[in-house]
Amino acid sequence: MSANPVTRFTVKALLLVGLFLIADRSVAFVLKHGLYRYYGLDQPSAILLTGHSHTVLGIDKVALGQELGVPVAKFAVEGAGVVDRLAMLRYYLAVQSNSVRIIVYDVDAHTFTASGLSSGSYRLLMPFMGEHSVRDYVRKSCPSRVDYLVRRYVHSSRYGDLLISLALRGYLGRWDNLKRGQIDLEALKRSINAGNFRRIEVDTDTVQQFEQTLKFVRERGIMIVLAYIPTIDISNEAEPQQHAMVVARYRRYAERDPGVVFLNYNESLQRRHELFFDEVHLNPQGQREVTAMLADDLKKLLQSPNLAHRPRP
Amino acid sequence: MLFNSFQYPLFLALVVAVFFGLPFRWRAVFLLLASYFFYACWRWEYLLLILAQTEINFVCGLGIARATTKQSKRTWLIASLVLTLAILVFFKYYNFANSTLAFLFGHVGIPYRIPALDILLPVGISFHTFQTLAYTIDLFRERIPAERNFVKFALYVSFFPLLVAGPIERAAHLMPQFAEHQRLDWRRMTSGMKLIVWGLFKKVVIADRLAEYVNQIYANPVAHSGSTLALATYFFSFQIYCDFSGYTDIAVGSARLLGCDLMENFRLPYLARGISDFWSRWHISLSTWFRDYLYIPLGGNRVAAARWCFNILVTFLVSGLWHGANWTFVVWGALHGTYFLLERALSPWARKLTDVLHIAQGIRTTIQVILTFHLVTIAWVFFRARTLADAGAVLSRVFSPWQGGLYLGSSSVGTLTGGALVMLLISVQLLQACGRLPSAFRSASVPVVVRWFGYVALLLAIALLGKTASDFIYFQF
Repeated sequence: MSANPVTRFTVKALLLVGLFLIADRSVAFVLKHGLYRYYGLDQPSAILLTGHSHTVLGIDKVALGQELGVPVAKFAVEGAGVVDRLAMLRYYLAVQSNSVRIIVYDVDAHTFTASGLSSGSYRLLMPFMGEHSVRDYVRKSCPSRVDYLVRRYVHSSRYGDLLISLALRGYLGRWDNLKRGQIDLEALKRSINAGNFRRIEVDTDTVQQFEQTLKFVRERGIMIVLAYIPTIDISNEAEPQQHAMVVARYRRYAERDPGVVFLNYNESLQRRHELFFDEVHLNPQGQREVTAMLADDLKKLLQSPNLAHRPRP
Repeated sequence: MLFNSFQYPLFLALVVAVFFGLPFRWRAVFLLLASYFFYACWRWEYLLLILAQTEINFVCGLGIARATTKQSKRTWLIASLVLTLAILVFFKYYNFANSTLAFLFGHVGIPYRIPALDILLPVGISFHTFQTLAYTIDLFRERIPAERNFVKFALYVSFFPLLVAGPIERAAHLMPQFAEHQRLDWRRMTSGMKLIVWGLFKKVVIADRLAEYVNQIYANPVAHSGSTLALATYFFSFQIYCDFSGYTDIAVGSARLLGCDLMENFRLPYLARGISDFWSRWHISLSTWFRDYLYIPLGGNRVAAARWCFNILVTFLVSGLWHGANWTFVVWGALHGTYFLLERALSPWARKLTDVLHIAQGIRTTIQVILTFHLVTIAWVFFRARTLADAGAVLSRVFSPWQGGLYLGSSSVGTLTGGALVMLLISVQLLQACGRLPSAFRSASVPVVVRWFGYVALLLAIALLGKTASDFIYFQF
């Protein structure tokens, strides 16, 4: 006796949904685990490096960890603006709540510039939607309710090419900067002379979010290092006054609170053109230089009396 | 509303549920309203254009049916052709004609002051215009009866699965299906859903992934090496195929859920053994439209050789212009016309040569397929390039000694994944062509475990590797 067509269809549909959900959750679990390893979310760390592509390419977390003798996590995402980073910090500190002593947060002249940012950077945080602060953030950023609901319930839809490749790198233990090569200075000069460069702006909302980030970190007794990973002088000098104004702002934050430190690597390295892959990103040689300088500074800071006592990982 | 948007499955599920829940007499009205809603999600103002085309052809159709003399039938037909094509010409070709005239006048030093207009091309206008004309011409040829029910005729023009990019259906095939009392058929339901999933996979996983690389390279072709441009051009061949055939599969699948069978539009076109074979496999609803309503009225092949060549070239040139108001499309059409004529002229010689050289049938077929694919791919350069100068730059770099390395785009992982997916598609199609694998989901001859694994893998690939909603290429036509 054969079941009626409606029942058969319903059973098959439910079976398919069930199998799909099992496959979906399994793939997402494997990828998330890879991302945890890539970002260093899988183990306690004393130092957390956070920021956008400047940190991704500019700081070698493995070399830094070896130099300092403490575990280092690098939770940095291409295109992550101030708002994304606050969500990232909330997530990191929810996952690894007790270990971090210093957070290195990359800054530059465009940190407060709202225009020109990727509108889709929130997607890079979607794998962490299991945590409610990230979920809220993704919900607010998604272009539609349906889009959000799909991401919420279909876990594999939270990943894109970049995240899949980062997860694979996490499993392979590969954090190296692959941007080998040097910037074409003549092309950059031509472009800047033609007026093709990103204007420096100070957006009030972004400043508020940044200050909220400082407060959020400091309330937890963690020191925050604002590290200016160098950007090339030719670009910096496109708007020298604006540039100086933003840098002065970082200095003021550091002067107000001993738990906030400003390390300006831009000053000494911006003219070393051989260190740049493009106007804002370092090549592996640049990465080595900045990492060495940062390691020296962090060694001193780890001994600093301003560092609140937190258990060592 | 795009077929690949998150909203479309919800819309489709709702329409199917309500459609089968309604009494038969209300179904056509409901489908028409749903179709208008679907179109209005893009721009409601342009619904007026569809309504105007519908009204014109409905009235002219009744005029043809009621006319008692051949002359008055012809008058109604001409009225329909002129009014319908005037809308298409104005929206699609006004600025093209205007800029061409401005260039020509400027070239001979005559002032030309007719301004360009800021007109947005209505989505799918070429498709519903041709579908409407097919009805009126078939009516004139007395191949179909006039439709006296306005709702059913309007539904034929605006049926949402084929409203924006075809297939360009014929009234004789589609209209009787609207008159049938469709019952919920679960087998058709599942086969429609499978087709939708397969189409979505081709669109969001393959086509949109390849598009990222192609768009990046074709945005500035002079900045890239010959090898990079060659890869981007190969990718475009598969992008446009997966984009358009993916759209068609979703359209055919959606219509199947509502009890309608749409015509086949693609039949493994890149396995064609010649250009004429290619056009019997690619965008079949358009190529047969041109055959029936342009090529044959011009005289077809029952004319002198010179006139036949003229007919072929005119048909391909008009086909090129149909695709877009740009000289690049005209050259694309001309190139295909030239290929077609050369194939006819050279094929007896090629056959003799392969016989003399004792080339085995399998090798002969392989050579034919590879050659045809490459000829088609070269023509795609004109289809994709923004200008003739860009197309020239692409071809000159591809066919000169390659300098500079192969650039894999801003995401080399994405590009390599795209390449792997193209290989997968080629493998699947080769197996289908050899009869080792059934055409997409059309047979239950594959073991159930393999089939179910395939369904889950496709859904997972769409979720994991799919790109978020972007337009279908053929929407612009």
